[in-house]
Amino acid sequence: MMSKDKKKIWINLISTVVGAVLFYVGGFVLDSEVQSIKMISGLCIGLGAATFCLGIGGLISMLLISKSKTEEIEHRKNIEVNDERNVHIREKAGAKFNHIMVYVLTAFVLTLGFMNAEKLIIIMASALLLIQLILAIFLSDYYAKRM
Amino acid sequence: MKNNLEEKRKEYGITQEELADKLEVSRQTINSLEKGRYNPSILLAFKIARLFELSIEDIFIYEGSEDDE
Repeated sequence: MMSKDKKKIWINLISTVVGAVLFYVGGFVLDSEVQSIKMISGLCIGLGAATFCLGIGGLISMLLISKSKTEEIEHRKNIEVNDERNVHIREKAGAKFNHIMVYVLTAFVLTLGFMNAEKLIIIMASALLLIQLILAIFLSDYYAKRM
Repeated sequence: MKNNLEEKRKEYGITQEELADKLEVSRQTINSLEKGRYNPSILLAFKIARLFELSIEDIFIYEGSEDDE
């Protein structure tokens, strides 16, 4: 059984390699004027760059920060994340955000309608609003049953 | 909810950070508790009371009981 640290090193190493490969493929292999290939190339470059940076960042932080310091940082991070007041703040902010986004999305859909936007775009924006409302109802019911 | 947390902490001779470490909460939570801006969960209230070897009522003052008096 691999230790946690070795697992982290492997994950970061694989992320770095995969990121580099994706970046290379997107930037140099998928070189075409065709729109769909350009899109895939862009996606590969973006994903590759992000994955590469995350992997390298993880490797560097593991090399630079000693094990005891990492454990202390991890401990502090866990306390901050699980601190009941911080959890309370996150939940309140999330609920408020959801409330505001319902109005924002409704206004967005109405604006698209008034602008005579393409039907598909209006339908997609409406679907977003519907998904948000359904999720809110489902999650409220889910937590109500468990608390 | 009013409380005597700051008073008890100073009697104990520890800083907010040290108290936060013992209770495994953030220092901001201790600060907010002492200023009366945040009410703890029952679990945290019990942990605080146990740490100071007191009852919850000795530290946290429920204002409803003050009205009854």
